Amino acid sequence: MDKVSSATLASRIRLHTLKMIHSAKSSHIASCFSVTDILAVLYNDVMNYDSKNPTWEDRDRFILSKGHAAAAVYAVLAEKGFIPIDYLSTYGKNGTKLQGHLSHSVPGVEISTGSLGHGLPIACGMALAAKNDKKNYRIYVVLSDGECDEGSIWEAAMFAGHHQLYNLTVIIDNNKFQACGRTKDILDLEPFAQKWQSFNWNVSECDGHHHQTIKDCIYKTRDSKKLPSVIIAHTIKGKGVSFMEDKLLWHYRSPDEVVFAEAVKELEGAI
Amino acid sequence: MRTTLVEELLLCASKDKNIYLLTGDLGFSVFEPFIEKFPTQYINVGAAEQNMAGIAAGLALSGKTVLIYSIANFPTLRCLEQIRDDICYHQANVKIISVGCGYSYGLQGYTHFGVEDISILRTLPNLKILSPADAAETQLAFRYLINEKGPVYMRLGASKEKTLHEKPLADKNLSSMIPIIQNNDKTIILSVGTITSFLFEKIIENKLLCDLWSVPIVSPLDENKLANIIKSAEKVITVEEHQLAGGFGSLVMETLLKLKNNGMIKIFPEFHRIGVDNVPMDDIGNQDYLRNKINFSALFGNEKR
Repeated sequence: MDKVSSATLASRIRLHTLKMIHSAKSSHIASCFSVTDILAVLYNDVMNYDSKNPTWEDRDRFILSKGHAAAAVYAVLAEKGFIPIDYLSTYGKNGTKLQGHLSHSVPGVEISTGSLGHGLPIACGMALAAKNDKKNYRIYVVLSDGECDEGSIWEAAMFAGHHQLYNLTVIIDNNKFQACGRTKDILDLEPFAQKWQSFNWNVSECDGHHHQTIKDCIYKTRDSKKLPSVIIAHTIKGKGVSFMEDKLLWHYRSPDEVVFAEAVKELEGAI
Repeated sequence: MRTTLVEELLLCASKDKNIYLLTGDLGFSVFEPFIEKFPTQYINVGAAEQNMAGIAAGLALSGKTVLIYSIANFPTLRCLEQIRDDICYHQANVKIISVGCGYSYGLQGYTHFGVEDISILRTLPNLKILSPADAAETQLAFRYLINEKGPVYMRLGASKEKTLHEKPLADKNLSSMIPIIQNNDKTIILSVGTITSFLFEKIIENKLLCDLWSVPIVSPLDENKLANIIKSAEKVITVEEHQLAGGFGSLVMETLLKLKNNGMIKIFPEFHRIGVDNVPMDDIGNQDYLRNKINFSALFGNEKR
C-alpha cells in the first residue's frame, strides 16, 4: 500500500465515492463529501489499525454515526487495504456487502449505522470498556450536526462527561444542513459549542477541510486525561465539486452522465 | 425471582470480571450486594434507556457480558430500535432483563403493564426470549441466559411471586417446556410466565383434567418438543398474561401450522388462546384483579363470555 498524503487520499475518496454513487444511482453524495477530509486525516495520520487484521484487539475504534455517508468509508477502507478497490464497484448493487448505510459485515467497520443517534452511546460503551481495562486505544466517532437533534446523543453526552471518558473523541461534521434544510431553520443547535461544554466535554472547533488543523485538533484530544473531547468541524456539504457545494439538492440527487463527467473532471484535477 | 436473579448474578460475577450490570436508575434495594462486591462492573446509567442499550452494545462488542435491567417496558419498548440495531443486528452479548411482566405492576396503570413485549420482541433477529414462571425456573433461566453468547431477553415478575415448583428443579439445564400437571394428554395447556401458578390453582380448584406445561423458553419455541407433547392431543390451549395479538398463543399457533405443513403432526388440534384481549386502561387493580379480567372460559370447554 503506497503511503500518500491525506490530501491525495481525500481526493481519491471523493472520486471513488462519486463513481460508486453514480453507478448505483444512489444518494447522499454531498454528505460523503463533507466528511471526506475528516476520514482522510483519521485513516492517514491518526488511527492505529491493521488492515490485514481488522479485529486486532488494540486497534483504535472508528464509528461513523451518520451511516448515510457509508460510501466514503468504504472508499477509505479500500484505499487502506481492508477491502479490494475493485469491490467498490459493487456498491449499491444486488448481492453486495456495500449497502447504502454502513455495514459491519465489511472488514474494518466496527458497527452498522443508518438510524441517527446510535453511534455515540455505543462508543461510550466501548470507551468505558477500554478505560476499565486500562487499554490505550481510543474511540473516534463522527456525528453529523443534524443528528444532534436526537435525544440519545445528549443522553450519551451526559454519560461520557459524567464518567470522564477521556479516551473518546467526537468529530462533528458540521455542514449546517439536515435532511430538509438548514439546521438553523429546522432545529437550531446553537449555542452548539456551549451545549457540549455544559455537558462537561473539551470542545474545539476547526475548519473541517483543512487537514493540518483537523489533525492538530484531534492530536490535542489525545492528551485529555479526564474529559471526553468534541471537535466541531465546520464543513461544506458537497465539498470538492464546486456546483455541489452547500446545496441540499445533492443530499438526494444522484449525478446524471453530464454532471458525473463534470464532477470527475474537477476531482481528477485535484489529484 | 429478583432475589434469585441477584444470587445467580453474584455467583457468575465472582467467576467472571467481564460481567457488567447496567440499570436505568431502578433496582433500589435489589442490587446492593452486587454493587458492594463489584463496583466497577455496575453502572447506573440514569433514566436513559436508549443510551443504556447502546452502551451495553458497545461494552459487549468490547468483550463484556452485559445485563441491562429496568422495569416493564423501559428496557424493551423505550429503546426498541437500539435493541434491534445495536444489540440484535450485531449479535451483541447483551441480556435484557425486565421485571414486571404482565400485570405485575397492575395498580401503577397501563404505562407499567408488560403485555406487548413478547409480540414485539419476538420478531427481532437473534434475540432469545425467556419467561420463567417462578424462582426455580428463574434460576435455570439465568444460567441459560448467561451461557448464551448473544442477545437474550428475560421477563420476570416484580416480587413475591407464588411458587410453582416446591423445590429447585432437578434438571441441570433449563428445559424448553416443563411438565407441571400430567393428568390428560388429550388436553394440553401451555402457559408462559408467572401466570402459570395462578392458572395451576384454577385447574386444581376446578378439578380440570389436563396436562399443564410451563414454557420458559418462548423464543425460539422448541418445535420438536411441542410436536411430541401434543402428539395425542385433541385440544391445545395457550395461556399468557400478555396481549393475544402476536403473543405466545400466536407463536404456538404459527408453529402448529408449520408442524402440520411439514408433516410433523398429522392433525391440527382444536386450539384456544387465553390472554389479554382488550387491555384494561381505566379499570385498574392489583395483579390478580386484572388477571381475573382475562377470559378463561376455554379452560372449561366453551369460549363464551
